[in-house]
Order: sequence, then C-alpha cells, then structure tokens
Amino acid sequence: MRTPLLLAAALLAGCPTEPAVSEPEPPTPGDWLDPVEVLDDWDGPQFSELMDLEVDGELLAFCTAVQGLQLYDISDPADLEFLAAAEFSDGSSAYPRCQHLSFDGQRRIVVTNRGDSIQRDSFLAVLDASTPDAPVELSSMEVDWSPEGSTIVGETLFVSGHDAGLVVLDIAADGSLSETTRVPLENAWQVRVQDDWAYVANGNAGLAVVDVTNPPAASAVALLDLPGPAKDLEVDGDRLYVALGAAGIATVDISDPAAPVLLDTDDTPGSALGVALGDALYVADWNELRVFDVTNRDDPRLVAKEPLPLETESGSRTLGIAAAGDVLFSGNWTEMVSYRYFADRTAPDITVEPIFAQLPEAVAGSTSSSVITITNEGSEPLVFTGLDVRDDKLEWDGPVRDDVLAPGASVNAVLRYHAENAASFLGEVVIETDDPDQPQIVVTAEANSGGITVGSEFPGATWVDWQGDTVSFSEHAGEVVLLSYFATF
Amino acid sequence: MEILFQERREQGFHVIGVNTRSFNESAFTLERFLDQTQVTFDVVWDEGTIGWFGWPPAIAPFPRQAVVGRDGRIVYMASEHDAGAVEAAIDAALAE
Repeated sequence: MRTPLLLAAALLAGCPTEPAVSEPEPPTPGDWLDPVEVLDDWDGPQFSELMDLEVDGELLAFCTAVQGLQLYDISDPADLEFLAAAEFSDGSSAYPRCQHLSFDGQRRIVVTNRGDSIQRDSFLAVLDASTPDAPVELSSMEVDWSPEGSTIVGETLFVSGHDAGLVVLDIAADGSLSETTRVPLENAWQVRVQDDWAYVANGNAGLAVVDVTNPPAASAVALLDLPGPAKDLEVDGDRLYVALGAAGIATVDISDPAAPVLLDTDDTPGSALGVALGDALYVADWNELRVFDVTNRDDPRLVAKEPLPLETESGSRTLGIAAAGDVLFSGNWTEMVSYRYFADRTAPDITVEPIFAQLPEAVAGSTSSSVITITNEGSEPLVFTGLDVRDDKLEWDGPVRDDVLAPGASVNAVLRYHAENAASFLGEVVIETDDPDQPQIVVTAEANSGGITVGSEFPGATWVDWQGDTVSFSEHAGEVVLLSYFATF
Repeated sequence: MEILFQERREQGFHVIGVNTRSFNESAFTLERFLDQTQVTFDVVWDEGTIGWFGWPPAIAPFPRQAVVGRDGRIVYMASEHDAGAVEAAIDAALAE
C-alpha cells in the first residue's frame, strides 16, 4: 500500500509554515543528546549468554550459560570492575552455569538452574558474597523440579518452579535449604514479594497472587489472565509490571492484591523477557532495551529505546535487565553493558522494519517490491539527512533528505527491485537521520537468493518428532502450515 | 502458537515447530520445554535438510517463521516473531 498522504501529514506536522512564494527552508537536523547512553561494557573474562542480572548496592551479579556467576563492582557504573566468577558444586564443572539469581540484602545470593542440554542438573545454590571478590558457596541442593526466578525475604526463599508451582524454602543460618511447602501453579517463571503477597509470573496462565503471611501455609488467592505469557515482573507499591514476551508489557493494579486488575498493555516490537524498575521502567525486549516513563501509573509511556550491540548473525537477544535509579545493566551473548537514562533529554528515535527485506522472486525484466515501515518513536521530529540507494536496480519510494517525520508518526516506503536477470541480488539502502543513537540505518534487500522465499514452493521435508515418530510435510497437503523454528531458551 | 493452532485447526491449519538442533539442544531440554508449554502440535528436530541453513541469509536472525499456503507455496516468512503479522498471514491463506 502506498501512503503519500501519511507522509504529507507527517511533513506538515513537522515543518514550520512558510510564505507561499519562497522556497521552504530545509528543516534543521537536531543536535540531540541520546536519552540512553552507554557508560561501559564488561572488562572481565569472556562469557557466553548473559541470563539474569541483579543489583545489590554497589554489587552487580549476573548468571551466564557456561561461566557461572559473575560479580562486578559498579560503584562507578562508567568503569565496571570485574570481581570474581563463581562456580557451583552441583551441575557441570566443565560448563558452570546458572540461570537466575536473587540477593537477600545481606550479601547472600541464591542462584537457580533448570536443567538443559549442556548442564542437565537442576539445582539451587546459596553463596556468601560478603567478600565479593571471593564468593563462597554455602550450600547446594539438586532438585527434581525446574527452578527459575526467585526472591528472598528474610530467611524465606520463594522459587518459581514451572509446573512445580511456587516452592517455599527456609534458608538456615549456615545457608542450607529446606523445602517447607509448594503452592501448585501451572508454569511459574518469576516471583516478587511485597508485604504479605507473592506475585508470580505464571506463563500462559497469567499472574498468580499468593498469600504468604505465613509462608509454610502459603496459598494462591487470585489468578489474572494476561494477553501474553508472563515471564518476569516487578512490583512498585500498588502497581505491578509484567513482561509478556511477544505481547509486550502489562500494567496491573494491585491496590487490592486479592483482586488484581489489568490496566494497560503496551506492545513491544521484540519479545519482552525482563523488566526492571529504577527511575523508569526498563524492559529487555530481545534486540533492544525500552524505557517507559511510569509517572502516570496507569499508562506507561515509551520514552526511549536503545539497541543492543548486534555482533552475531543470530541477533542480539537479551534475557535480563537490572537497574538502580538512572543506571541500567543488560547484555546479550557476549556483552554486559551499563547505561544511563537521562529523563530530561528529548530526541527523535527511528525504528525501521524490516531491516532485512526479503523481496519476492523476480524474473528478468520484472519488478518485485517490499514495504519498509519507518516510525519515529521519539519525542522530537525526525529529520532525514540522507538517503543513499546503493544499487541502480533498486528504487526507493519513500522519505528522502530534508523530509521530517513527526513524533509518533509512521511512513511506509516501497523498495522496488528491477530485475535485469534472475540471478541472486543483494543491495542496500542507507537511511540517515538526526536520531542520536542510530544516525545511519542500513536496509538490506535480497532477491532471487536461490533459497526458498515468499512465492516459492516449499520443497517439502520429513522430520523426526521429539517422540521419535516421522512427520512428513506432505501429510498436510492442502492445509495451511505454519513452520516455526525455535529453541527452548 | 498453541492458541493459534487450536482456534484454526478445524479450518485446515497445522503447525510444525522445528527445534533447532544446531544450537545443541538435547531431547531432555526439549521434553522439559514441552512439559512446561504443553503444546499439542507437531514438534520436530531440525536436522539441517530444509532447516536452519536452508533459509536465505536475509532471514538469518533468529527466530524464523514461515507460512505455507494450501497450494504449497510460501506466503509469509519472517526473521522475527510478529504475532500479528503471522496471524494475518495465516488467516489470509485460510481464506483463499
């Protein structure tokens, strides 16, 4: 669909009125400061896959897939100082790993690990990090269930255990753990406790509220359906924010904990897997971080986004985020990064989808096209400062230099490929704007790559399913089939 | 996806979840995952035939999804999970 009207409206919204006789002055690109700035990245040993992070005062801890728990001094968040990496007596010594962690406020850390392909054993371990450059394991306990996120309140440990529900344990003075009760739940991913209530992100079953006035007698008192799988959550007084995967984030009123009310949902482009509260609500959204102003407690407002470093072909997924005031910490496969959020800064913020345009097959002499959507998610007008189509077989029908996109506005560009032959084609369009953190975005267009693409016949396949049976694509001839490639993480 | 599947299976819709063995996932992990998610559609191993590496490079970032129409032709392909776009593509294909 062509959208010249939308672009015209966006241009009007962003341009001052000029006398009809004179040439309009080109807009002046803003000299904006980035609302979210990178402060520092890790200076410690190489790791792979950053999982969960937590902050306790000047100490930051995070779990990794194969290098155990890593501890950093964050007293100067612009100069992160590596302190130690801790391993665990349970699990694999070749691939020390944890997935989630929580602090008890007394410099004890509980880490959890659910079994997976690299490291099969599920366990809980308690570490003493009072000497943070030499953490000591106090206890470790293998379990036959699947522990995920946890929260410590005094001597009580609450662990979300997927289909084992909310598992409540005592932490003894020596750090040893003993289970006291379980509250049955469908698929508990994360738990946060406030006053006498535990709030559980319960996967597709939404939010569960558990009365923990007397932890050994804990019982679920409310369940709230949510429009996506609840994976993580944070509590802030009478409000609760839930990460809902592809559905974004939910805001829930818990002024009556026994009767939670869904107030608002904000979709995000990625998969929201982690939330953290500081001066704002920070969201780990797969390839980027998103910052929401929650001054209006009924309606979080997107105020900034920050791309994560994209250093691998597989993208830059982030699973965890932690915050302290205006400083936030996140990371991806191999990076841990500290950022500062500047609430007083306004700026334009460009989003381009898709960055990789897969054009339909084109035979010699024909044209194939794809729609690219450009959105200004920032708070100031976005000024295009350059548009470079780097191949004469490509045509760009969209915003060009000196065009302006108003805050909140979107425009569709049409990218056309005029094929001279049926050979595979790869070309680029470079979009330049006054966005302070992404001044240049490269859109890659691909056609006739020889692989399978939109419009081509699916070549068919036979697979073995997880129970060992054969599944053939041809069994579903005449049906509409969704093929979804996934991994369990 | 489970909800998508349940709501549309009567109309001739099927889902094949392809687990990417290239990321070194084991049967143990997959079984645990399926226990947790309780999906009822087909879940298979990607053994590299039409798998991970058979897709064109522009679709490289993970995850990737494709919708195949009743005539066997691909009508939708994406490198990111976009629930709205996938659902729209499926419904358009079912309506044809």
